[in-house]
Amino acid sequence: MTPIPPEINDQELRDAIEERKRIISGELKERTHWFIRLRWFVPGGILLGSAVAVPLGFEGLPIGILLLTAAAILVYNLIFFFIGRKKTGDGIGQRGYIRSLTRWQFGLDYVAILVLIHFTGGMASPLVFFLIFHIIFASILLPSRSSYGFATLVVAGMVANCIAEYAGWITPHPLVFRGQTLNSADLPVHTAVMLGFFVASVYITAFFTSSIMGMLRKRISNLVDLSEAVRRLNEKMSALYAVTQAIGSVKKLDRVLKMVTSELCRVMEVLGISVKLLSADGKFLHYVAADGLVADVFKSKVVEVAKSPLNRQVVEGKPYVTGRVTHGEMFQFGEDLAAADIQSVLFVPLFVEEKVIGILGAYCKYQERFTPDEVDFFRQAAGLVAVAIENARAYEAIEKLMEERTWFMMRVAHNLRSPLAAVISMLDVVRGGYQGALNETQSEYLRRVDRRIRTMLAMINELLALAKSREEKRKISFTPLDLSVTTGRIERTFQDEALQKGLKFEMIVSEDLPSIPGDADMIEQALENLVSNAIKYTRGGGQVRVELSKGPKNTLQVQVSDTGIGIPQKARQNLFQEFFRAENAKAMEEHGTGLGLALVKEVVDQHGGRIIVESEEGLGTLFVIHFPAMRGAGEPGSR
Amino acid sequence: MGNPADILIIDDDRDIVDTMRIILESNNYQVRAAYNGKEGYAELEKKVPDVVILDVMMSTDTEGFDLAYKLQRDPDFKRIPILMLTSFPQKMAEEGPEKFQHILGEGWPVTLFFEKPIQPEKLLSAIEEILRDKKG
Repeated sequence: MTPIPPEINDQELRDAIEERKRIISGELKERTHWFIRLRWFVPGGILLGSAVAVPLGFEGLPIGILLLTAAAILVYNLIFFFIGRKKTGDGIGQRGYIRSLTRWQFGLDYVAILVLIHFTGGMASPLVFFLIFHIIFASILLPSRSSYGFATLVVAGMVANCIAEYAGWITPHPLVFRGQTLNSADLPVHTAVMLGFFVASVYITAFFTSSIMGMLRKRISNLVDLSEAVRRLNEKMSALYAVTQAIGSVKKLDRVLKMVTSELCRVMEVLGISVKLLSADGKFLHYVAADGLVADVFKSKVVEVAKSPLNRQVVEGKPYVTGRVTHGEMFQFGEDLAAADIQSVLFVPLFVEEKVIGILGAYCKYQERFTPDEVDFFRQAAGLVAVAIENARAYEAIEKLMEERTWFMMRVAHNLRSPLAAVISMLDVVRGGYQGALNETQSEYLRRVDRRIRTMLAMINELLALAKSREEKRKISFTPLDLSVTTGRIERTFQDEALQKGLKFEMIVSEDLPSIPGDADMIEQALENLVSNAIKYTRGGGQVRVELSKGPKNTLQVQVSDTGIGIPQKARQNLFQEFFRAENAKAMEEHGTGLGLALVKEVVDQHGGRIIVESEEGLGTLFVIHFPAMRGAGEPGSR
Repeated sequence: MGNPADILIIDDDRDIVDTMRIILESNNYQVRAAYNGKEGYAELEKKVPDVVILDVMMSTDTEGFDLAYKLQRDPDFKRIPILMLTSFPQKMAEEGPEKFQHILGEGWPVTLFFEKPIQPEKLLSAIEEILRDKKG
């Protein structure tokens, strides 16, 4: 697996930035309005201060100028209020606009405060402390570094005022308290020290507030990132939950696949999701579902595992991820991927009980799209998808089995009733006088025959109903079998029949025959059916041969061969179906139940064995059965 | 009545075919017989009969239905009335497996549907009914 660089996705990045900007400018506007609201208290404060100052003993205050300043503040705040209210859109351009609005407010505020300070004693004015507020506000309302800019402005303003007063360029307005004048011009050193400490406190405040705000801003930004991550995680969890739900509720495989691929496609925000399932022999991968992919690019395509190192790697259990498909010479359908403009591909195995049943794939147009986190998520999703698929498959298999059983019952009903229907029809013709008149006794007997047959017909219907309600599998007693008794009996049973027909009949049982667990009666019945068929469908002069030996992989091998009429190619697939009889068999022997081979298959299946048939029409037939033998040393072969 | 009505029986059970032939011929119908769907179709192509009597399960489980649908889709044959007979118990066919339900769901392709065995009187009245409807 190649290391994956962090997710780089132009569009996503741009979207994220836009979103962040939108949040910040919204907040900025909110804070600016708050600043305007606060300012409404300032003119009132000035008025109150002036009113209180005189009775307290402050003399000679320029009340007129102070009130004028208060009025000016009221006016420009009104202007700011209306400007702020008018522009309420939330476009991105808003941000610069709000910033400049804030700067204007700060500038005017500073002018107003400096005027107030100048007329209330210069450096000695108690209003000096109010200059600190704006430095704090600046770090809140504007980029945190701008608090230093405003600190410098404040310092410059104060220093300029002091120098101008000291140099006599402007008239100082010292505070007069109960006859005593606090004139800073009289105490230049004291004023200089005060100014020095003032400057220090202004810059220290700027430093503290800007660094605290910086930290807070970072924290906020982290929170936004975190909540975004939580949102994505939540989406993914919902997707997994949906798949889990599907496991329990959706029973059709194609619907499960459709739901799972579209859900994953949505959550992972990728171009497409595909599911490939491994064929029973493990040699091929079939695309069974694809969401978001061009159907004819993928559907109906079959990947040969041996020819695709990439898919082989995944089938062996290792995920595969690439961020640049053009480099991927491993792709069997590389040109198709390129045509679909796919850059990143992620394949993970679908595991069921440590067995790989297929591959889940994700496709994306962007390069280097799949982060380790996403690979992890995809693997977890694959685990659930595999279970969902397996569940649906099991359910479908059961449904198919149920349907086969029902069809079997239908055929039983049909085949039991058909001959009776024919008999009744023929009776009707005779009794109806179509073939000449009947005497009374004949009529009476035929009436009785008719009645009995109809009873039988009814009985069949009832039996079928009963069988339906009592579908219960016969329990097999699995005991080690000594087949020497069985084979001996079969040999004796069929020797005469074969002889009469002029057939050569041979039974060969090898010495080292393994013992098998099973039901002796059932196996004998199965062998009898095979031998009986072989004799029935082989003409005089032919040969029937039965051979029991030790098979490969700890099995018992039974071979029944003949030189008979053979089984036509097209009849092979129905050979083990109940009531099925091949055309050439019908031609040779009119009557037959069509149940013999069905029973053989049933017995072999119940014993966990396998049956194969080879045949050439006109030349003969060979049935080979492998029964699994007893495990371990077990008893030595019988006979 | 002018020419006797031409009836084609398609059934793999020769005994059933023979008995129906006796009953129908003695009532002045002209009877042709075929023993599977393919032969039946060949007979149809030779001459379009007035009625087809059709079995369901012949060489395949649904051969009769397959033929009925084939006729229904063919403009030359879709007007031929079909009397379908089957040895399935009717109840079973109705509650039958999905495959059968699927067939039934596609639009019923036959005129009448009876369970075998059918009594001679019932067969004759069914044929009469079909021919009457066809004329009217």
